[in-house]
Amino acid sequence: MKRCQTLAVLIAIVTAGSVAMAKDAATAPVSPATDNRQPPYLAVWKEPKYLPDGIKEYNQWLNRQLVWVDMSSCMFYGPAKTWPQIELSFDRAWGQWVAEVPGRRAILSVPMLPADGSTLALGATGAYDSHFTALAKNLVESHLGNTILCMGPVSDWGTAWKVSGKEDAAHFAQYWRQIVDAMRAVPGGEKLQFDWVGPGAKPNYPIDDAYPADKYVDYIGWIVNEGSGDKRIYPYPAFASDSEKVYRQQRAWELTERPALDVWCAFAKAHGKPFSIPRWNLTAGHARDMGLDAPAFIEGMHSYIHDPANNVYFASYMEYYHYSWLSPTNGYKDAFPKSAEMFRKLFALPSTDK
Amino acid sequence: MKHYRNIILLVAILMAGSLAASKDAPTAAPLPLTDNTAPPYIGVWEPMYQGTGATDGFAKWLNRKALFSVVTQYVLDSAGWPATPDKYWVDPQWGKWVAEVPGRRALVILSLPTDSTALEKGAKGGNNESIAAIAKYLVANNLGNSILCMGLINTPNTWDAATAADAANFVQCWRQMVTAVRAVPGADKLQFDWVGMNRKTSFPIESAYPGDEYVDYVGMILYDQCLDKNIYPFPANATEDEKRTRQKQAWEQYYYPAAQNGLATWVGVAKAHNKPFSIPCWCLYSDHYADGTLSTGEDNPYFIQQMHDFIQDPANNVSFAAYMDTYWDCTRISSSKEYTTNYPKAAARFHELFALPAGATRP
Repeated sequence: MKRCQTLAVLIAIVTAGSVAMAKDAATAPVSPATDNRQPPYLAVWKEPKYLPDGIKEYNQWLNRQLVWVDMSSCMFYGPAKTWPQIELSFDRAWGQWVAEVPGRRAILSVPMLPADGSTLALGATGAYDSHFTALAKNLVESHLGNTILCMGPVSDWGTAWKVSGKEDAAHFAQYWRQIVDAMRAVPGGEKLQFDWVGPGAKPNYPIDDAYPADKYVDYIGWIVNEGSGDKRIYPYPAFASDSEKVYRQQRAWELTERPALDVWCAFAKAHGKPFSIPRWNLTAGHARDMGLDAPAFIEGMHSYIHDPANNVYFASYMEYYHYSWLSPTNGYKDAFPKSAEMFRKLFALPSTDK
Repeated sequence: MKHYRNIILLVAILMAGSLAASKDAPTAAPLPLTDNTAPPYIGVWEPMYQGTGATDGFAKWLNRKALFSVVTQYVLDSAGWPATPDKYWVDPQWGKWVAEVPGRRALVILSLPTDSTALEKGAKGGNNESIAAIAKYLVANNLGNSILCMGLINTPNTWDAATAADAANFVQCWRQMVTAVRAVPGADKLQFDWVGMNRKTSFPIESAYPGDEYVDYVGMILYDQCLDKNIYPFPANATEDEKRTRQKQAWEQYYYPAAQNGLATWVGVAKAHNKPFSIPCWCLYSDHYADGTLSTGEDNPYFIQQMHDFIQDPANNVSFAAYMDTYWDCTRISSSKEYTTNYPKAAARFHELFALPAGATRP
């Protein structure tokens, strides 16, 4: 039965892949951009010190009012070291922000374990349920009972742990079910939703073993960093023209970035779940396997997010210093001016639609 | 007096340019290939993520032991320098690599900050601290005999975008930096290569020359890209003959002539100042216009042949020339287990022209 399900998912993935390839030529229908009145919802993560004023400026930059926020502080402060950091991994003030204007919503990228020796195996026994009960209570008390919690076997997300094999995957799935049951049991926690985010690297375990079951999952998501390990693409050659850079960004999108999205989008479809992109961003750093200022990536992501066939529920851009920052919030000089212009061109609303 | 000297130089450059241009074939016998026991020294620029291994692979392909090697990574895609030079900028292992075999030497390519404000700041000494830190780092890592190849080279259009005022600031900036480097203990063996490109300038090139006491080599970066659409891209279904004709046109009309600030121009400057000539970076190239067509000559053995003939011609007094083998599907001419070159014909020619015969390698 399980094998059969895996096969079905695989077929779905392959089919989705070829469908995506085939529809390149035709113009794909595009979901209309709205001020977050319907999916795909737009969200942003910013460094905590720029919030909440930063989110206002961000909205202004895009002629919007209702951009969601990823209020996770763990992505900024690194792996959670203690349970209290997980139980309150957000600023309570976001509750007021959400309550102020109907249509606002918060997401929370939360690590499932702190870096204190806690394990998935113990989590699967229910040993950590109380910490997630506390998290749910904190959210509900803060008027954040409709938050979407993004969790998953991702290893680069303020987490200090990973799913290390088949046995661990089973622990992970059981631990997830414990968490969801514990949080939903908190009065007012019924509307909390859960986004299962696929692993970054190819897992060394059957992915279905780490999937908790459809009734414990509201969304299936995938994190996208601009970049390609294909040395035919990045780094850009010295002296590359602007058009060559765009050409390479498009290759990275077509050969690396979109195919990875397609896999998890198909996985979501196979499970009948909306797809999410709880974090996507440009990247900068010493290792130059990325396009840096890559407007073609922004273009690709925009069309992917707005393609109804992909059923994207929400997508959150991460603004992180020079590393990925686009908006001119707080007078910060954007590191990627071409991408910033493209982002604004594609995601900003005409000034009349508020 | 100064004017007078400039005129003499200009005449000398023009004469050198026309002399060079007028001769179709080298009159003197080409210099023999050596394992870098005598100029022209052969060098390479490999991807730095492979450490010294890729450079050694390139040497082995050519039956050589000694090469010059560009050791900086990711320097030309940004006008910024590292605040503190570190292993991500030049890996310290290159110091050991250079010391292992005579005839090896490190080339450090540095693009100068090129916007007018940055040059103005540099002219007042704004880069001195950074360049001194770079010199200290090189000395501390046994790379004190490196050649710093510098110029307005971080983008291809830097030379043509610069104004006369920029050129004047560039000269002052250069002098400031050289003086700052020479003040670093142990940095007296660092040398300076003044590098141009085949782009037109709005100022006489001489006005961007820092002066003989600040320059050890005059150099040029050259790669097979020509923006004249009558030449590249090749027409669809072009025959090999048609391609060869266009590759030849690119060389004859753009890469060599003084009128285009080609090799003739820069080798003329070198001669006029009695400096050895250098080509710190040369290569085949691949670059797409927005419509997807190429502004480059693809698999171009003719370019390899012409470069070889130029480098080995004693009249050009080439001290060193380094091939930029760094970028897969773009410049790479060598092949390895993990990658096969896109330029098989050019690679065969390169090997034929630059590989040493058995027995000519250093022991």
